[in-house]
Amino acid sequence: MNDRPVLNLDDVSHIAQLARLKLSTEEEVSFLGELNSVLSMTEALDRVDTSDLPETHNVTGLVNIWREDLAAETLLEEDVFSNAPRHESSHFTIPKTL
Amino acid sequence: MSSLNTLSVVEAIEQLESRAITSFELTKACLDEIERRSELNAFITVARDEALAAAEASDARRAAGKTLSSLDGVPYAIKDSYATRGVRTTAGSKMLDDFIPPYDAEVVARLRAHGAVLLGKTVMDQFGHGSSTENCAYGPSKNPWDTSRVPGGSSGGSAVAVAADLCIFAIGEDTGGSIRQPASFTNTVGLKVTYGRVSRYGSVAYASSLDTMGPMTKTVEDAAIVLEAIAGHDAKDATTSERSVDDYAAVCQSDPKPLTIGLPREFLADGVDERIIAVIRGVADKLTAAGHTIKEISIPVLEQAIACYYIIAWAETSSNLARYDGIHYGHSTLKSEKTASDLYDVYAESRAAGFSTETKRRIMLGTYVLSAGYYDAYYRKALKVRTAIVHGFEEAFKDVDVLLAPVSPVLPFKFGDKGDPLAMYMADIHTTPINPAGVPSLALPAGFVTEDGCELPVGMQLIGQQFAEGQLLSLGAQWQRIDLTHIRKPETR
Repeated sequence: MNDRPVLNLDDVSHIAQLARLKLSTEEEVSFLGELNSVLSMTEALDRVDTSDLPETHNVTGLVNIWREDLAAETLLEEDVFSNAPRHESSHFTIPKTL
Repeated sequence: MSSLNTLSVVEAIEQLESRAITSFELTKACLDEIERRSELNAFITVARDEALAAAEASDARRAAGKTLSSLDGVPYAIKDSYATRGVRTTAGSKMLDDFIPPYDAEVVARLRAHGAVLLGKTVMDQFGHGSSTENCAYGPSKNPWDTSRVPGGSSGGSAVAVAADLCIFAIGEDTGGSIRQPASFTNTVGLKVTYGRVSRYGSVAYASSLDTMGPMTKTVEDAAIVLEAIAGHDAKDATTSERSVDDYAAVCQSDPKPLTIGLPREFLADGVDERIIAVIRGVADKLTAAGHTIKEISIPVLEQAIACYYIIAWAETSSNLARYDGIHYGHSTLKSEKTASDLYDVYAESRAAGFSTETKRRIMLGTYVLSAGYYDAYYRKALKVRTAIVHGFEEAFKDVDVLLAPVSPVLPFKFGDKGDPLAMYMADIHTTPINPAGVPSLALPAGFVTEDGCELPVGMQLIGQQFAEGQLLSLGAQWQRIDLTHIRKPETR
């Protein structure tokens, strides 16, 4: 599987948009070279035959951990909003979206 | 008598219990040393007043015969990735420059319940993104063995705090070597636990399927004592195990039965500093003399493990760090702008200003490997290679009890030496294979190498099967009875 593409500047802009990162043109150019360089390391994975292997998402073997739905102490409202840049009473405030 | 701040956990407990010293004296000795050695930049935030108050409270409990545990009154430092109620928690990033957590991480809560005294929050690469602390918004820590060199990372501040005796013990966090590599670079002990052994609740997430919480200490026995205090099931972290917590300190008291110790040749391959290989072979000889059997083995998939690790780590960190949106907490353009701008701009500008270049790079890489069209080639492929890594370790542990390996392929390097991102990533080649398999690894002092007139520490790691922490600590404690490398202290005072 040596068909991994080389990124171009449009790709970098698109990734930045997906990642919600406002980058300067200089940053995009810098990332272009670095990302291609770093991604070249991942070609090593092609040397592992994974055709018969499942994916591993976690290594503990634990599945569906349930607990009783019990009322317990939780954070106070003033604590929840204590680090919010903007809030009014019990909700976060954001710019108008509609 | 040497200064109180130089005590190990075992020694501090003895002296507190015998009433030879008070927690206040011990805590003040650490705080004074932190101030005296400020050029090492081990801490982002020192909680001096809180620490002294906690120490006085501990002394009052002891006077009343109501100590909470043997660790009551023992001062410690913690990586700034752990939420500490009322004490600023930055994860090394300007993104969280003014973040005051309203709750404690579970590790912090458990240590508080044991009466341990929090000294402050240590320097780290932002969000764990780095292997040198050079990616810390509050400046890097300096290696006390040679202050022109890095202490390793990302838990570099905690390692320096232990190595320079600024605390009695410390806590770090290891996603791909962030406890072990700084331990190796500073002649200290660091334990990367089995995934799920210690709760991740309240630790600022880097990569959630790889993150582990563990002790950084002056001796193996100290690591055992601290692990016992922080390990165990936590309902707030569903990935923690319900397995009982062993009496780790007790297993350190006697030598383990003769073990078969595997030496994977992939960890001693070309590219590893030959002086480090010589130190590791010397360790193998001494362990043989102590009755153990050394067996050279091969785990071929280890060569591809670093690529697997990074793809998963980038992917998970890009997802985890999506929470920093400029809306809920953390750096936000909403704080400065009178008129509300477009919501997208709040996200994109807050994140661009709050994250460092390296953190943005990893978010970009993670976003890419998860994006439509590339998911199969990168992320899904990495998850399958992860299975091969798990199988590789399982096969190895059919033949051997424990694995021995160097922690790092290179000696502690100089500031600026690994400016190229790929070069920095490749320095993690020996530590990153461990986390995808979820197995534990104990890093501990192995020897010294002289370079440029400086004596520099070399660490080794003992790797075991899942939940074999007791076996690793027992073998590590035996090593520290055979070999006294760990008692050497840096002379840059």
